[in-house]
Amino acid sequence: MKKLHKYIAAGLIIVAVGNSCKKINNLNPHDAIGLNTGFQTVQDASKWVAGTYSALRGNFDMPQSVTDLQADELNITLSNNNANTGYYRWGSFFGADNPANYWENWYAAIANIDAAITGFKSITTSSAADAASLQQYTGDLYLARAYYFHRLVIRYAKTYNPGTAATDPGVPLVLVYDVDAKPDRSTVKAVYTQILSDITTAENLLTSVPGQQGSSVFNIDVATALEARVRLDMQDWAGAYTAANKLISSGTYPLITTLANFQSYWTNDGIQESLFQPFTNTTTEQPNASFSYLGYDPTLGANNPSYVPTAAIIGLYQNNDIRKGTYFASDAVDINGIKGTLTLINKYPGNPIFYTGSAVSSYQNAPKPFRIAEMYLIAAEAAANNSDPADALTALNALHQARCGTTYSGLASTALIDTIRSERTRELAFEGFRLDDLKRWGLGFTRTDPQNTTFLLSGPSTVNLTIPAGDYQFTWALPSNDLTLNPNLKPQNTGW
Amino acid sequence: MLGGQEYQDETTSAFNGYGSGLSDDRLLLLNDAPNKVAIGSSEYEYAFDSFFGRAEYDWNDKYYAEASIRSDRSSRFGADHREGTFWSGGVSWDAKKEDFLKDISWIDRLIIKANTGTQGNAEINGVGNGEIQDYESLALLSGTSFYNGVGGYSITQPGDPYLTWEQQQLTTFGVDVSFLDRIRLNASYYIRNTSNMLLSVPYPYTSGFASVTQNTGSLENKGINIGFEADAWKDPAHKGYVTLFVNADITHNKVTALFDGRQDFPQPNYLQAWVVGQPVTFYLPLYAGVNKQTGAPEWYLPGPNPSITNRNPNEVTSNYDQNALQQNSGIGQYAPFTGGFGFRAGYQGFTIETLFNFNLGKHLLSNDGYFYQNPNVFPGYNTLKVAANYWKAPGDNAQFPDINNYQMQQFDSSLLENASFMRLKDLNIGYSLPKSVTGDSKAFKSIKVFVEGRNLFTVTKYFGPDPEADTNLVYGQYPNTKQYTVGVKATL
Repeated sequence: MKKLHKYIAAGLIIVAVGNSCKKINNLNPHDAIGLNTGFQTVQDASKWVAGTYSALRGNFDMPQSVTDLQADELNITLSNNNANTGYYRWGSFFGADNPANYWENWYAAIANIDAAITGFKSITTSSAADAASLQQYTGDLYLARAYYFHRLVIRYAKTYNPGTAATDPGVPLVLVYDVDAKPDRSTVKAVYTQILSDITTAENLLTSVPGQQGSSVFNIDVATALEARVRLDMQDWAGAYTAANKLISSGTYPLITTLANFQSYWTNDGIQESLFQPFTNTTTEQPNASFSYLGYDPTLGANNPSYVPTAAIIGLYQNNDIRKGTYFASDAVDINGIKGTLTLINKYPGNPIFYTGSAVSSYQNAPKPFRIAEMYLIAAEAAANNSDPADALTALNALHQARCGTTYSGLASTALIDTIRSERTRELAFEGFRLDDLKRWGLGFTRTDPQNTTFLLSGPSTVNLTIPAGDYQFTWALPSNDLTLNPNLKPQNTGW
Repeated sequence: MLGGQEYQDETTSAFNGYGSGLSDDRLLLLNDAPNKVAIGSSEYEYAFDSFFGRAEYDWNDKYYAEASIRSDRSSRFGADHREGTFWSGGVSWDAKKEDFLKDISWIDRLIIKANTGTQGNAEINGVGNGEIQDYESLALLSGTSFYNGVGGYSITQPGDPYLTWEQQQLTTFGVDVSFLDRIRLNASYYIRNTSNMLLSVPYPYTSGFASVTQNTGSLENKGINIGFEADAWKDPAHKGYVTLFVNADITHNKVTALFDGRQDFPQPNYLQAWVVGQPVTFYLPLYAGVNKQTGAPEWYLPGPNPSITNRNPNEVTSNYDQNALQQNSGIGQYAPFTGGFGFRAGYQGFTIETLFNFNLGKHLLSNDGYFYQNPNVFPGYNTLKVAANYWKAPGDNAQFPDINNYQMQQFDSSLLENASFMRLKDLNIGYSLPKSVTGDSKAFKSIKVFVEGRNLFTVTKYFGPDPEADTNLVYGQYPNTKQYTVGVKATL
């Protein structure tokens, strides 16, 4: 009997050891799955693409674009406590690592896209419908990657110059998911070549996905719109014009011509002029809030904005311009206890569906990263630079007519270019384009004509700041994190 | 002799529900909450499997030896790297028991010890949340980035299949002695080498990640630990005594290896650096003061190797650039010399006890100063009076630059403060009621009334609210409070 006990005890120990080995080697988390198991079905592919779009929705920063603070159309008020003042003040106030988070976020998105592009190749499909879906998802990834590299090369490298692009340092082209890679800077030309290659790949894969107003997924029209934007950067005037004009002449996205409709488009997230609008809902997929352009405070009974437009930008609009009545609103303010009335930015007043149950706006609107109006401006600018003033004026007037009810005539050469640039400034104000445009045009600026300095942040380099053309801070610094950890990443951008 | 096996299997499950806007005390279920009813759940598991053996030997109650060995496996590490083997050994000698000391009456006790051994660590601290992570070796993706109702995938961690045990080897030599029935001394010298440290290693952002948990780097700590007590006066008949005590810890730490074979790593935006062969030091632009003629702030230009401090008054610049100007300040965050002292005394039931703590060579970086000495950048903030000492005219010997042309305060060495301090941590005065009072009562064995004060006063040159803060950067730190307690302690 005693012997038997011994056997039982020994048996229990063996069972215990055996079980524990199994458990130790097979513990997996419950809130995540292994990366190596993420590419089994077309449904997996749809989830990778959903992740990509979800990240894009957060990364489309038009209503809260720091480049707009850095440029010449805004003043910072006294109620802004240090948020983003570095961008606004330039010089020693603007630290090299202020914009590091953009680099980090965009490369994180690219890492996911790279992993997915490779992983999709191992997914086998069993039906034609599945194959078509997989093809579309792959196209989505390439187009998203092109978008991110374009943002990166604009912000962290010199403007594309056909004469020097082949030697100007661009940004690292990370095209394969590899955590341990230490990539060097590709040239500006190589980056743009890759962007165009990714767009072409996307266009081929998305050729049977038709464009539609307010599409929440990428399609052939969105690919064409990005192509137009990129070719304009590259001074490929003919290519930019062709791409932009293709979208204009499709007639899918007619311009809005009345004040009421234009206001509704911006307030209620209309889709008429949008080639793409990320999916949003009121629960788990809300859009980012805009900057504090209004900041209505019910206890003060007035607005307490952090950023207000300069009088100069307001003065750029005619009174009959429907953009003036849409983008701006004159309203009571109470800023640090100082009361008065100012003209405020009302382009992102907040879609009421996001603040149901509250009387105060949450200032959330769906991002509108690709609008047809930009295509008219690209077509006009490209044609004007391509010695084609007639087509330039046609595109310019189509937009101007829709917004102001009038047309320009007899414009040529410099006057034509300047008018197109002004129109672009008016149309795309506060959408994050301005600083990139100044950089592309090789212009400096003076942030002139504040509305009322009583309400504004004062001190060195605030109101009336002058930045010369070609100032090195138009191009952001590479993050010191990457320079420190990646010996191949050099040189730092000039001046930083 | 002892041998054994140990198995640990831990599962943590949690779920929660959340709702707000309840307006009726009588209806407090989640169902009654009108808005934001959120739910969540989590589950984490880990397992350890260990075999161990231990042997002890004792000869004549004079010589002692012990040795142990263990093999541990943890589910937290990479599939082929789960196992770690650790050992220890030690000897001690009770010299008082030797014949040649036995009869020397003034020595009460003399023990000499030496130990060395290794230990494994499987606790991986999460970035940001400080919680122990269980799955860091795995490359993972989660599905919580929703788009149009689909749970979108994103890679949450790259994982490291080579992840394994962090190891610490501690060697100590110690002596424990007491003599004259009054003086007690416990001293030891130790060397602690930590290797294969489980750290979140910074990665270039182009990798898609800011950091990856890996085994990297080594750290060495050496030091002397001393505890000393002396009975200055004893009168057992009247329960009288005065005991003085001092304890001190002198340490020196240095980085002995870094990831990727690097010799130094200035942590971007942390204002600290790890340099091989040196303790962790503050690494930041070194402020040279204000130029008397122009009112411009000036910083020392770093030499070719920023790990070597360069304070050459002929090499200064007025262009602030945190990354270009940062260099080794040679100043560490941690105090190399810490300890405490005080006395305990009593007479006829009255007692008084004091404890002073001190830290010498400690430094803190005042983030408060960046906000409160910077009126032309933070106009809405309260400003310290010292900020009025800015440059106004040529020849001024000012602390701060010309307010009209320069940012008053940058992140530089002028924010670095010596936070050495001595503090009366504890003062306790009490009186135990004599047995003649409590003896009649069967309810209480003893009753003591006392008054206690904590953090009563501090000697320091540090400007901020509390030099005792255990951090590198101080912003809006809550200080330790002065506490006064009056109490009665009754033992049943």
